[in-house]
Amino acid sequence: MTTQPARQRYFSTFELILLALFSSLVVVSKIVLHLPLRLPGHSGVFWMAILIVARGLVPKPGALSLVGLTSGLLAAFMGLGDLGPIYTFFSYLASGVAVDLIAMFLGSMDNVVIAGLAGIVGNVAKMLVKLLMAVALQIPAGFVAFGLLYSFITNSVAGLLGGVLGWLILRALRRAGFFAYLAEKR
Amino acid sequence: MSQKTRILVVVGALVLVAIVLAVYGFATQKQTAQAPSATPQPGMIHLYVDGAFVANVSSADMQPLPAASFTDKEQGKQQDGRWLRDVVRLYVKENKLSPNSQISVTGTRKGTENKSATVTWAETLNPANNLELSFSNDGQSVKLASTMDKLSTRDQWVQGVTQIDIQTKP
Repeated sequence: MTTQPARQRYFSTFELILLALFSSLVVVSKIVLHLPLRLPGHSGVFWMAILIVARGLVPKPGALSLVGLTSGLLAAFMGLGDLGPIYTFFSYLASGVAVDLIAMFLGSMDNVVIAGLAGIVGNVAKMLVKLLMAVALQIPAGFVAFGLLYSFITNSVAGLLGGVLGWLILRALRRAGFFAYLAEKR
Repeated sequence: MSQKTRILVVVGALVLVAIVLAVYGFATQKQTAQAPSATPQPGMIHLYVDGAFVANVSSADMQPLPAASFTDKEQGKQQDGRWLRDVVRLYVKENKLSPNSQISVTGTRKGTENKSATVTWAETLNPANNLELSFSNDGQSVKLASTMDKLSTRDQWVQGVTQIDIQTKP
């Protein structure tokens, strides 16, 4: 009689709890943290920082897609965003999936350039999804009035700042020994 | 593929996206400028006076108007935009409007579901009502916000404004 080894789960319970916490943090940051700027995509400064930290702490493909999915559902049910739940859900999901894909392609978030680029891609993905939905639903959106290139630039700058901020937080956590603590928990 | 090459690939892709957006944005603006102003254009706020289409309004059209700002009753947040009365005056001569003239603002709160609010010209002129076409927090859409009792909460405001109907003689 042979015994089959128990199939190991892709995400541990601890990692799932961490990802759930980051999902709620994305939503909370959107509600609580406000920069006094009227620039398209400026919320990406906090948003991308949280995603980069989440990717640094749970460095597995799919982790950020899960954060995007969960935060999108939370935000949609909480009525965030001006243009309804579908619009909100897909913009949150797009950021998570985009940063996930770019992290899979570029590798670890230990490098400030990679973290910055991941932030840019995440925030631009959110902008592109909003643009596609605004065009599809024929919603008057500021992209057209303010200029698409202008929106792209402000989203990129906010994403870059968010990526660098996330990298700085990860570096501080590493120096504080948080990663050794995480290794024990896993 | 080395990491340096991968980084260059991502940067190249971002530059490509920027070029595509710039070209698309330029083409859209050119198309809008060339389009006959007598027909409603997608992506713009359609303004009707007494049932007849008058103009395609964009955020850019509202930019030169005096800035408006008030603190909302519900969350105490500052709402910035342009006064509704100033936007109406852009397209309708004030002597055609009476205090009872009705202004209906329609938006798409749920993506596809329409939502609207109707106010009179007298209410629009009352400074205490703070009737404002406010830019959303990320500056990417326009909402009708106010401190009027019937229009003072986010649930009552009209988000994603798509159409303004003005009835000069109700």
